[in-house]
Amino acid sequence: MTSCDLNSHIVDSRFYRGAYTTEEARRVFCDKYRYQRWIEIEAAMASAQADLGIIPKWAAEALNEKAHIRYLDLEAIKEGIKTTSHSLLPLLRAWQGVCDDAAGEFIHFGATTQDIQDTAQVLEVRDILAIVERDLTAVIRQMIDLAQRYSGLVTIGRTHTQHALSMTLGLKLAVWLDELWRNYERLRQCKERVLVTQLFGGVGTMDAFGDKGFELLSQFSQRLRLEAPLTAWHASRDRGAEFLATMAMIAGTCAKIGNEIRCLARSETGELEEPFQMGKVGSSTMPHKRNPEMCEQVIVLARLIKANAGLGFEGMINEHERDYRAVRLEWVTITDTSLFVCGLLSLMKSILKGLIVHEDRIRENVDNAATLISTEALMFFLGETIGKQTAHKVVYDTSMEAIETSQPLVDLLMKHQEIQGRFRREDVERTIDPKNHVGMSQELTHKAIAYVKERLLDTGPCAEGERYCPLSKGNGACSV
Amino acid sequence: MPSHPIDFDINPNIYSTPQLAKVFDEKTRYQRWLDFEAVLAKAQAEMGIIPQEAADEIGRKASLECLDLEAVHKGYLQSRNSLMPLINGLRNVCRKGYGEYVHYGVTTQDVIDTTEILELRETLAIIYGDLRALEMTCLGLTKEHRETPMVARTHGQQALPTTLGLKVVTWCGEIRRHIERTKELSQRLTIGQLGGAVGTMAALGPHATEVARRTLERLGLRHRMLAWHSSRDHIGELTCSFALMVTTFAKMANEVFQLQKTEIGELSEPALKGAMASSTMPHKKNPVICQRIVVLSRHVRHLAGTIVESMVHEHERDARCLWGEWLAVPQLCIHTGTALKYMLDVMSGLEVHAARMKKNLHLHKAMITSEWLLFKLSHIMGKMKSLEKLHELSNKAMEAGISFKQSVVDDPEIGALLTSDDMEYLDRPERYIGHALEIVDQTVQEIEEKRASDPKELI
Repeated sequence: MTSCDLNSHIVDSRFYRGAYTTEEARRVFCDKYRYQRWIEIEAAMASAQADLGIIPKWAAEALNEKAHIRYLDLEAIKEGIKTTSHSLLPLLRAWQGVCDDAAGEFIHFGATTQDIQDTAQVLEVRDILAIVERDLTAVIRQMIDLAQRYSGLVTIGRTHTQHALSMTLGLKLAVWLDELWRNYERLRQCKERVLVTQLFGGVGTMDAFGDKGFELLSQFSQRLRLEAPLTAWHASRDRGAEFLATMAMIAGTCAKIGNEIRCLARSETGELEEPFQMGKVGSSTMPHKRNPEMCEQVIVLARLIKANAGLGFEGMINEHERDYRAVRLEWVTITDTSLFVCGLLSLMKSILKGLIVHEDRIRENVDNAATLISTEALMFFLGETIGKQTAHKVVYDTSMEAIETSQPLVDLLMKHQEIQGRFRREDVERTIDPKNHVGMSQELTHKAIAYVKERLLDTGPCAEGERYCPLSKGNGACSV
Repeated sequence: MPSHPIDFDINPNIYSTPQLAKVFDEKTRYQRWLDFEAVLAKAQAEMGIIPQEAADEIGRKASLECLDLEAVHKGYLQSRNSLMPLINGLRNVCRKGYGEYVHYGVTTQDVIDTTEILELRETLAIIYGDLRALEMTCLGLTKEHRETPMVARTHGQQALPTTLGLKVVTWCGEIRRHIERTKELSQRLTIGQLGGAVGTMAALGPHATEVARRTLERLGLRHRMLAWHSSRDHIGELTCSFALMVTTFAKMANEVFQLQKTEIGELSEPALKGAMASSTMPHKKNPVICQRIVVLSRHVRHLAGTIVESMVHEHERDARCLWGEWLAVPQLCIHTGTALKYMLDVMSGLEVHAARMKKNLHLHKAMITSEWLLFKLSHIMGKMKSLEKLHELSNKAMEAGISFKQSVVDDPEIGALLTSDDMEYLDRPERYIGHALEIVDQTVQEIEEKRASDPKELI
């Protein structure tokens, strides 16, 4: 359409878009497909109106016959938008131009622009939710496998960045799984509320549809396989805000996982690592670098998505019966969030698919930390004889001394006046073996896995495979 | 009955400092309002607008001790105006009906905006002093650790050698820019408000401008003809600057937090002797203060967002915006000052574990000097080719669990090209610090020159 094909938004960049979104998601928001949706929605309304006798049957048929943007002069529509500053009319005029004169008079009969555009946006969101559900399910399945595989691997639990107590890696993963599952439930519930049509006319009274308004809304919704809402939501934007907030939570969980992998991949810790293959270059000047860049990109996308959730709340503050300041905000926030969340989940799948768990390093770290991370258990063991509060003080004093002087804790402890002669060294040593202090780690892990697995079975199948553009020809090229 | 953590009694000063709490104390605030009314009356008497006796009487009574605070309190329960009950309290204790001349021709927002500026001026003075103290502490640390070698990290991974001095002087650079910002914005901030109900000064009489000038001058503020009831950019500027400042602290605190990780152990925030970090894990030593700084900075950023939103006033005055500011500004100032105090605590007692730094630096000593080897090799076989080669060797070494140096020496293609002299840096990474020392010295010098021309105190 233009002599120079500009791609200035990062999601359209020929080179970098792969890091921000997926082709599948971009196809959902293609501007040509958007117009196609608008026309199809208009055509569906015309058919429903013909069924109810609001407009003649022949008119609806004639309109449906030309309800495809391949018949329309897109260049003229573009010019029309410049002259009229209206987002929909030029498209309708172009459609009218290719229909016969009489039928063209029944285009957009009683609807308001926002009825069509909101409904179309819901269809876009429906496509995105299907992708998100598919990919989130895949991530959940991957997490189940990982938690299962590492359910017994003893590792260090950390608080305030400091070694705290021992646990299993499986439990860490099970906590992620549990959080991912809650997001899955949120996603399903949000779908019920968000996927509705809009067809209420200028101020939500359905006035122009005569006494057929309710029936029309119901048939129109059925044709589009969406629910019919109770009242107009032109100026009630909680649905958009809920979608944005739900995506932000999914992104937040993934970012937390990505960040944890990044932390544990530090050179000094080296327990986890995102997938690496020869040829991947960390630095243009430091040949040795292997960077957790996919994890970092997940965090970048989550930040962008989170910012849009904030705008979603702003968009809820509408004035009177319609307020374009909110709707036009959604055109950006919902689009960007959708594109980013698909990119993020695609990255997450790749990270988990090839996640490298350095078991030897984990064991080494546990062995080095063994004495100190079992102080809680030690305190309870000693406490049985000398009282828990006294034991806390004794273990605190000796731990601090062990840290300051780099002497073994057990040596210091056995010399302590409260301990000397009252405990046997081997009992103390057995008490601080990290393997003996993972608590209910394994049980908790298996319980979480079983819980999610059982419910996954109940959710029924979700879409599989990649979604293609209905406007594309067999070879994937655009037909318009 | 303190219900906000800022005011907690039993565990006080976690989210506030006594100094800043006093600036925003309720009674201090009301006293400032009374001070405004007193100087206004004085200026109006000088210009012959109200009787001199009235101004004298108002001046004598404009003190919280003279007022029936119980009655003022009851007034607030019955009124939705933020100022009138206090004004009535003053009016009622003035003799001979002179109370009628209180608050003569001004609007509530004139009083509250002007005194808000007085609060902010005091806040700025405190922040400025503490910020300079922090700068001094960090300059001291920079000099002390100018040459202390450590590993620099990117993407959380060990990258190249550096010095602690260079890390800290980078913080000094940010702190210096915050000092400059503070000085500059205080110039734009210290302007009072006296524009009357809609900024026309209609009820202030023929000498309106002179009354305003004299009133504000007595409070140490300047006057501008143009009212700023609905122009809040200078408040927005202050809060954004504070948000920037606290975010610098958060970044510094996060760095200490990260480097205090058990596996890294290069820095620790000062611990209170005998303090127990965990109620159930006796061995723990936690970076508590650093985490508090990060938390405070999050609040400050969000509060700044609220205040910037509050710049969108409608018409000549807009309470929806103004009141948002009233709630957000004191918190933001108190949190900022608290984070700054904490930062000062951390930096003053920062524990530097130089031996651990060296140990970490030597953990993958050959790897992290790979850049050095890259340039050495570039002269022989070209830079891009060398990069590919070394990249391959370092990954091989990682997979095989051998040292990078070994994999280089063993390599049939390049092993023979390098002498043992060429390999020297691979064993002594602390030598590969580039121009770190020059950068440190020059930056310290620049900052110290600027420091010398700072005013001792901010107005």
